[in-house]
Amino acid sequence: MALPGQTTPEGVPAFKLVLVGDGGTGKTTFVKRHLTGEFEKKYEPTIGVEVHPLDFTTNRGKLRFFCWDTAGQEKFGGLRDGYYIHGQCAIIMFDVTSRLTYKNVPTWHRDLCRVCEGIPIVLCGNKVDVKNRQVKPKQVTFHRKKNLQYHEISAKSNYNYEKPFLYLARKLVGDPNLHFVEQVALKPPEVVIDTVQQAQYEQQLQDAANAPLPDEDDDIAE
Amino acid sequence: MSGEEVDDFEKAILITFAQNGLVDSNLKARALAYCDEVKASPSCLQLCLTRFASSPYIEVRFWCLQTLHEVLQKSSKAFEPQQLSLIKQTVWSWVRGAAQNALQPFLKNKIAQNAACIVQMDFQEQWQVLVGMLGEGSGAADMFCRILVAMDEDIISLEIPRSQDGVKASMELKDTMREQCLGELANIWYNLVVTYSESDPDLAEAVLSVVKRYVSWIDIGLVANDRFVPVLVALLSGASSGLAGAAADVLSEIVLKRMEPEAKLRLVQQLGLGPLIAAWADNLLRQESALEEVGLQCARLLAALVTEVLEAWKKVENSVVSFAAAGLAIDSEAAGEAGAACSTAQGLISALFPAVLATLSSEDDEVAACLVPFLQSYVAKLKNSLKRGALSQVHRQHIRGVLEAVAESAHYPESSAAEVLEGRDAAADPDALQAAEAEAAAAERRAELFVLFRNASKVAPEEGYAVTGTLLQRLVSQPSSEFRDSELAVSLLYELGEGASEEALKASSGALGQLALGLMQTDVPASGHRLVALALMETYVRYSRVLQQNTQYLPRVLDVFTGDKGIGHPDKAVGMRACYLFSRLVKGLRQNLLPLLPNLLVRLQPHLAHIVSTPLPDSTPTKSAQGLKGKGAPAAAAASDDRLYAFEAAGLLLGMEDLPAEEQREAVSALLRPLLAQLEEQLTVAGKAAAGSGERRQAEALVQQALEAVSRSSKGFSLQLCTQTRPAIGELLAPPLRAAILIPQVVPGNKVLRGRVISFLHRLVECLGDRLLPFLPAALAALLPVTADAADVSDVHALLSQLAMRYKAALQPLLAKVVPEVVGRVHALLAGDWDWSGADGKGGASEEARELADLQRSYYAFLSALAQNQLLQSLQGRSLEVALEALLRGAESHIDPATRKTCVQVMRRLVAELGGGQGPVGAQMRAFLMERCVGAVCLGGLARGGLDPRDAAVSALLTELAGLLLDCAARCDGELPAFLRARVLPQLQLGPALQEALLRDLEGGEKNTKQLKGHLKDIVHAASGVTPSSRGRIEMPDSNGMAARMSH
Repeated sequence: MALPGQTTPEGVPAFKLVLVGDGGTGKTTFVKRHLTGEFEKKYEPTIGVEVHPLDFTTNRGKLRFFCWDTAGQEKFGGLRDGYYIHGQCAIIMFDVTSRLTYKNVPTWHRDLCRVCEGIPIVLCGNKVDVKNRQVKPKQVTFHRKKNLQYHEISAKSNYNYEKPFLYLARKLVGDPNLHFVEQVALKPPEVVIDTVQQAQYEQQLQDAANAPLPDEDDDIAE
Repeated sequence: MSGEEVDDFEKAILITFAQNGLVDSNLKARALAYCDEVKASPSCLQLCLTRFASSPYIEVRFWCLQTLHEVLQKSSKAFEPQQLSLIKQTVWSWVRGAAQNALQPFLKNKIAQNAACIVQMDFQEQWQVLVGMLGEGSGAADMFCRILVAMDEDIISLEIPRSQDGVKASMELKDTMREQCLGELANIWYNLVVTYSESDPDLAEAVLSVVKRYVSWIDIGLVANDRFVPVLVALLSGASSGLAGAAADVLSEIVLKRMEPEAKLRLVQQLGLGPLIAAWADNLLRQESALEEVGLQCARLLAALVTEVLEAWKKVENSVVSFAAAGLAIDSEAAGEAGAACSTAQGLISALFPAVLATLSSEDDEVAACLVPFLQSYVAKLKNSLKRGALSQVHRQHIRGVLEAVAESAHYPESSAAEVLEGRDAAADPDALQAAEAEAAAAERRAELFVLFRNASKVAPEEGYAVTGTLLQRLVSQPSSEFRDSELAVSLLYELGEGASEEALKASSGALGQLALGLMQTDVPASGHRLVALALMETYVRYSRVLQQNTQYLPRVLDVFTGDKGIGHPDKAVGMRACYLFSRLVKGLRQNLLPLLPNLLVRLQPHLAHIVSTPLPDSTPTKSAQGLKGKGAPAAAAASDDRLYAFEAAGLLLGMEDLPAEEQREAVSALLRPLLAQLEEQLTVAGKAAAGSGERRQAEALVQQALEAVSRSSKGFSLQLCTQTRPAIGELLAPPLRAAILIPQVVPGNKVLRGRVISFLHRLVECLGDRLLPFLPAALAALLPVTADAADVSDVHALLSQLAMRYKAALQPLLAKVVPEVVGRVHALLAGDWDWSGADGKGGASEEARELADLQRSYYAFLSALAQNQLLQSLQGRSLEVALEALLRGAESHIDPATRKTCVQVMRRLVAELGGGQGPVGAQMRAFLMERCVGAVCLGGLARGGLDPRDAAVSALLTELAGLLLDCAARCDGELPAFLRARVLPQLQLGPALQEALLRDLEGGEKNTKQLKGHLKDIVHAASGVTPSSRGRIEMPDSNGMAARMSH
């Protein structure tokens, strides 16, 4: 998806990445951690979408995500699912310290899939650096029902920053062994993640993967 | 609207969609505002209906559909019949158009959303239109599916959070559909699937994905019947993988449908998927590539089947059990039914079990992982049923099968390198990176499988031993086995050892002990491989009891630890872990090692020399104390070098009292001598090198490593050994101690090293006891240089507090010298305008202010330690005066109630030691108590506000204050009430009742702390909500001169 205002070097594949999720889940913080994105971004404040070119270098060469950060659209109205047109991949973000933002994930997923059929999607639980999390790993089951990738991230501490991009890049390029060869230039972390705590969460996530999915439909068989 | 305006309209939409950065943001704002105006105008509806068809731009067309959908949702009831009919007509014409012509999928879906809206509005009529369209070919069928999906997503599905009205609408639509069309709909699905499965598999797949959405709430008989199921089954093994996957998904959804257990079992039987699943698993085992793509969906179907059957089985069983538990009789018919249901369930699971095991062994991790949760709960079920009798033969076979399947599939990947060399840049080496990723993924997967293995082994331990024994036996008979086989066999033995019974561990008779013993005698193939080496050492340590009973194998095992498959392994991580494990082994087998000591020390020596001379570079987080799984490293240990455990082991070996005295002295001396030499030499180098230079850093690191090595070694030397049985050993620690004391003076800037010196002093308290005392003056002088900052003095407070606890009165002579110095330093640092309420160190304060606030707190903690250990007499003269003043201010105003409490406690001790009497000294003492302690601190401090009465720390403070007040009252010989009336109470603005209550509490002869505390709490209540201020502050003379008259 070539955007004339932001020239992509010749031969570098570029993909439109749609970033969605409730307001306040940290979408903007997330994209702004990436320094090239921050450097070259074009700000479109009036309609509440920012497009950031985020560059990554892989073993198969450079690639660029044009990341459509739909921040503020709740407030500004704007085009809503119109922004998703021609999206090639997506990240759905929720905030692990707010249950409501997780509850709304299915809505974002529905709206996204309606406009972009069959694109790779990553679900990201953000703010795992915060001590008092409300959505525990074992409660995150949506991705298993819909075959999405799930990552726990902390935009503020750069924790797992590149993981969602790596997954998307592998899917888009069609090479499960693709990897990033240069350290992604990120802003220094603002908080230090508690590795012990996070190891526990990862363990819980692991345990959760073994647990059966909860029942959802209340209808009993006729 | 005129034609020109309409052009503007298209332009405006195109501008709002443009995200190329070329459009001026003002223009964009205007365009957006324009679009919003259009939306609000009465002609909007008309515009959407006409412009969708006529505009060439997809953006404009999308906008029209989006806006119409908004309008329909918001104001469907407000339309005129004529308008509504036009909308319906137009939308259906779009649907037909989309069915006939190529159109972007997102536009088709938007049209479908609008159609779904219309169907919902007037179901009976519109449903007929929808169904009537179906004769018009595959495009129409595609739109039909999209509309059904939109109905589910926008109205029916409760996965999407909906408002109360939304939930009601969902119910209503489902009820209407149940009444009017579900039979017809199921027929349509069937016909579409049959019609298109050959000619248009994608379309047939879309139909099935719709069926999947509806199964959970429709009559299950509509799809789980003799007509539909065979079609699904045929598709499952058909040519199209997409279609096969979709069929598997529908079948899973049918299986997962909620129903009574007996009905569920009947349903599963009726579906008759057994042969098909068996064939599929067979293919899976033979790695038929055509099935790979459906593997995951088939595995999920299988998992759904066995899980649902197991759940039904458990429910039937539990209902019988709970009937019995409630004392209710179960009639024989019901019991018979329940029994039949259980055996049906068991039969179904047994039939599917080979497929379950085949799936667990799948090469594809994701496929294999599908069945793990079922197996966990099945194994738990079998474990539960052990309570009611022995394991049946069938169940034993199942357990055996699970154990064997795990043993088949828990290998590390072949790509895991034998050693990971340091300095190899993984990012630059794609193969290494991939291998590392594969290894990490395997480690994660194994963790789960090992839990399953352990649990299954607990159900039938002998099966676990047998499976592991076979694998270990294979290693013996096949010396060319791969590292993966060695590693797994050894790791499984390790897993079996977790929580194993004493009986099983007996080497003579216990099965597990026998296996472990066998391993200790075996040359394991590929034992030099990093992963095998780790597994072996972990296992040796876990089974050290077996070694203890069979010491003839100790030399072999020790050779592994001290050789190049252990501490000397080329892979740094293995070497480090080996040091830790070696220390664990030594700790457990100390006595048994005595005869082997000379040789062991010879082998250990080069490693010790290497470790002490190669400190880890700064900030390299080590893989300290990592388990086999490589997870859960404690954060605190991250900064330490785990190789130093080798010194701990050496110390433990040499600290045994069974060693001949002279031999021991020689050996300890030989151990410490090079460490001392390095410490002294490098400290000299560091002292001479320029601050901040690389040379200085290197020298300091070597000093630290040597100091740590001494410190770790000393852990093996007990107090008893160093001071009584072998004082010569204690004496050997003196030279390193003297050298260590110099460190803070020679390299004053190195805080880490300073901290290590303090820890070393603490360490030696444990070894040397009272014999450490003569070293302390020099040590404290070194730790309190002229340049000492707040943090340094705080360190010294902590050290002195702990020494006071330990040595009590014996520390008095030292304290008499040191305390004035320490107190002087504190007051020099907290001089002038320091706010003793501690408020300067709060929240956003500077680092320096925070350190000073910490210093104040550590000062109080230090004074409290003196008080608790009857060492307050080390405060004399000027230092007593300033300390008392600091305590008074802290007790009165400190923002932290716990700190206030500490101050009050110390004051109570001081008050108890005050000299009294009837003369002028006594009068002065009473004035001080009444004015400062009672007036300012106890009552004035509480009345200042800022305390939360619900805080537990405040409650503890009030208890102490009540105690202090009563102490003061007792020492003032009845003068207190009058003083309170005249000087204190009038300034506190308390209610008259509370004033009277306080007076009563303090007048009476009897001490009622609890009652007084209650009244103090009332003061806090009265003052809460008031910000701390000078309100109620009682101006009193300071304590100058008072302290001088205190006698101890």
